[in-house]
Amino acid sequence: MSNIALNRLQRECKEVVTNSEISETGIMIEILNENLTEIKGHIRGPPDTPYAGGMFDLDIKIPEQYPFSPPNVKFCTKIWHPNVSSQTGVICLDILKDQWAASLTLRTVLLSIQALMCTPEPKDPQDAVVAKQYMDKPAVFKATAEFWTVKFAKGHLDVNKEYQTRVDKLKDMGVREEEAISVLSCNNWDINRATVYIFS
Amino acid sequence: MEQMQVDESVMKVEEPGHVTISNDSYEMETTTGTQPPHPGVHLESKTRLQIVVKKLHVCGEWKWLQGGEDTCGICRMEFESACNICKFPGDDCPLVLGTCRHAFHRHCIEKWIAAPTNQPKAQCPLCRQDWQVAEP
Repeated sequence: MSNIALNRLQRECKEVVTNSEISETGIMIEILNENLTEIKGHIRGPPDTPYAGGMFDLDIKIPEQYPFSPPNVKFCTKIWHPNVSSQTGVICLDILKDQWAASLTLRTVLLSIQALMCTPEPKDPQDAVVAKQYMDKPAVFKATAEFWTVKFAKGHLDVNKEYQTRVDKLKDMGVREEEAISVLSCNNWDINRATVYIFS
Repeated sequence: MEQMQVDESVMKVEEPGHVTISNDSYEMETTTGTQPPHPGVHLESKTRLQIVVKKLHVCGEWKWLQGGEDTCGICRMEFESACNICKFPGDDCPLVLGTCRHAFHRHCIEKWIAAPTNQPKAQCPLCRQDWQVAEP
């Protein structure tokens, strides 16, 4: 990595670690290798959202041209959100693409993602199925996002029993739990449609 | 350095050497050997002490006029430090002020302007207005 990227990242890591950021905003970073090309980000699910109580992990890859090119950031914790792929964790956020600015930092990027968790942009979706559910069936969206938070992000809410029963039914048919949750979520928890989707 | 000001108020006296006492007069000894000793400057004092300053170590501080108290928004170094490409700060690593009044190390903003995603027209990394260098 170039000198400029390394120097800057070292300062940025200090910024996130020392800023008493963890208690105030719930963002954290974890350095995975010495040359700082791969970093793990953590975001606490913001209160008053379906993500509250969860801890979401992100993979951050720093390109050679950093900070003149944006970092590559994606969720590695599965999350049900209109602007995040429910399959791959890829995030649709303008500042990670064409609206990147060299003055942005790991801290501001993580804070922006946290803000995106509070305010989804369904008109510019990364996952069209999630976005459609968000707009057409907001109650189902909320329940689904909460279910995902409990299942994948160590959320401490009670698990939605009705949803869990349907997941278990699919599991009894030999479907992996993760796939069962994903397919049911995409089919608004209609078990018949989910079964048809999986077995046809 | 034309664009710099030396702030008089921060001139400091450093490295006084050690003080020897002989009778009632205090003397600051110069520690470097070969130069002919300076006769020294007598300091007025309301006490009985007779202080003769033979050597002062003056140090100045400079600041870029365009920079203010902030750090460069691109490399995150103080404006008075060199950018991450340069070894030494100063005239060889100057600042540039945009028409939006945001300043950066010249080398940093030049790299930003040259980034492929910022062609043909770059914006200020801080306020996203079209980047244009302010006339001095």
